Amino acid sequence: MTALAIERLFKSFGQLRLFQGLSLNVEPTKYACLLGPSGCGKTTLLRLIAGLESPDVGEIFIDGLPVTNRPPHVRDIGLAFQNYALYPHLSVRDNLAFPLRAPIRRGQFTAADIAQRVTRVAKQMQIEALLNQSVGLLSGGQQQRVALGRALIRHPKILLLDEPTTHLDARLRHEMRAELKLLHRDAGTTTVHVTHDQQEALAVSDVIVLMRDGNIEQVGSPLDLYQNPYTAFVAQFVGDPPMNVIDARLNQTAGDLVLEVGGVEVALPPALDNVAVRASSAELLLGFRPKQVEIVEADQPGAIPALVQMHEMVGRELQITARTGNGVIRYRTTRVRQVRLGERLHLRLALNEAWLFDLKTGVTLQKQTGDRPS
Amino acid sequence: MPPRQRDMAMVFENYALYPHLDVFANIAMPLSAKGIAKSEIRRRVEEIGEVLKLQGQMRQQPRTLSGGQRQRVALGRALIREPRIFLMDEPLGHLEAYLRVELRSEIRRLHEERSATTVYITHDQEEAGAVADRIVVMEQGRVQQSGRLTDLIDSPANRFVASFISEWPINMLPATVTTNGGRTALCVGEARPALTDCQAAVLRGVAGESLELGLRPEDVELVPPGGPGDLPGRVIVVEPQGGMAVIVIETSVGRLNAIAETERTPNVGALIGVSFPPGRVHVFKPDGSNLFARDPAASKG
Repeated sequence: MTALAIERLFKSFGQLRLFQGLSLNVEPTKYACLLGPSGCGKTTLLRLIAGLESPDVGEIFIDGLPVTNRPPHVRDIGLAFQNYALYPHLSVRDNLAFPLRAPIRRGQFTAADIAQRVTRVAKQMQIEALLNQSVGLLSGGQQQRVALGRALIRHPKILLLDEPTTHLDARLRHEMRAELKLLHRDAGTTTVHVTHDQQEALAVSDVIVLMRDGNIEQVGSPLDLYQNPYTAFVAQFVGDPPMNVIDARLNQTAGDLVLEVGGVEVALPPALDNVAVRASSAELLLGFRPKQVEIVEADQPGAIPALVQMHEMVGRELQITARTGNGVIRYRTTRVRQVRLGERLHLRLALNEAWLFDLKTGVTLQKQTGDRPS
Repeated sequence: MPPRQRDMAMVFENYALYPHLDVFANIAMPLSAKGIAKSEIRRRVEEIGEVLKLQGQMRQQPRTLSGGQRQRVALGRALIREPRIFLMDEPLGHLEAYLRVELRSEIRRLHEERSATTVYITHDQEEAGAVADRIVVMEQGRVQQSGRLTDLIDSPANRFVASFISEWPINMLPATVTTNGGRTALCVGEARPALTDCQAAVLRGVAGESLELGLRPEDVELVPPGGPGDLPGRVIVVEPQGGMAVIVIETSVGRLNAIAETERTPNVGALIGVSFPPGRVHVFKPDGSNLFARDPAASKG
């Protein structure tokens, strides 16, 4: 049984056909992130799961039960939004108890029941000391804990989180990520968390659902998306700094396959020999991480001429963005040196690890071990 | 001296464009006002328009432009003056993230080409690291520290700078100093971090005070448990980040974060030791100043 099943979902907004047959399964107790750039449909998908939008076509199952045409309050979900959506005039206690006292659930929970649940969830969220305070007086981090506690108080089948850390400062955001993971480990509630922040998705998820233009680009564990990106888009979206993806050409030299990048021939790393033979055309995309680049003298073998477009300090590291004949290469190093914009230098790719993608579809030429998008 | 005599050009966060003039006229305004020849004005406006990728918008009015385009027009109007000093107040404030990254490299490029002194205001430490030769950190009307980004990271003058200039939030742990028969020890829970002679000498003067030890997550060294001087802890959360991971460790003095390479990531539940590399530790007095700052003079600004 799956905790959440979405089957062949269609949804349009006027002319915009957002989802055209999207399917997704989330297994029980998993923490899933819907990740993608703005406009990819991740928040709409969450709203469809919650019942705040209805699909044009398609089915949604929660814990095996069809809920597609059922209103939000009977779906057995807990919701927490980025803006918390708390009742500012009510105390923390009354905010937490609110879902249990809703008129629609009259008679379902006794006063003793409610008191017991409030105490438990307050302890879980470490807000016991705040129970009698008005939420209007709480800090952002405290308000987010109340919102999470309220979402969890009915022990929902699925917890839905919409950008829950967006309004927190950097320190609190990091604290909240650890809290979310600990809470999930404790309560074991299946969770669907929407975020645009790849760092956050990597940090908290069991499963990342990477979306783009209403499609699912890849589903997999954080490590899977980082190590085995299904498309060039995934490769460039996951990881900081993003992977370099540039045009390359596959050549045969004396029986050996070599890559031509920026007019220079680069030996294929042994791991890619078997991959390259799968290429359907000689033109393809080569992906490599910014640390797999080094500055070399012009006369070195494999030296690619490049023009410095940008240099900046990122923490203690120097990042150089340089233009080559085949596209822009980002280079990151701890060996800081003086560099000027417009300077000509030579880069060599140290390809102990690299990725190849089809030029037209952007799909990987590597064999995939993890889940493919369905 | 009134502003117009100071030979400087300003860019504001809210653009301040002339709504009834087109892009060309907006950029040309500082030159037209000076009575420079039309052909010369045209040449310079076109040059700036090319740099800022506004060639296609020259005859449009500001209201028909996107936020990013308006921001570039405002930049163009300042750049065309070739002043001695540029003042820029959050010039990329209203832009989308990807445009901010693109335009800050343009600003840096123009700066390197013309080398006019530029004073650039931003709340974004990453942006500061990207455009500036020197960063002046301010809070509550005071200069807290000024220097290169690496100086601010390696040797923050005080607690505020240490927290504000950071890629990952800096760990802060309660600490005290004991002196026992001429031996000075820094106590962080069970840990007694190694000290240089110079650091020990500085700490002798603050024995018994409530201090805070600051250690950046990227500077935390994870070692097998039980090492003398180390802080024992238990891994409670591991947050993968691609090539590395954030490790959250519970200790007797609170939680702390460490960055570890993916291949060297301990498991959740593992008992480990936190080691404090002597050159990377900061010790903050109750007033916030860093006792281990290398150049205390810099903090006075």
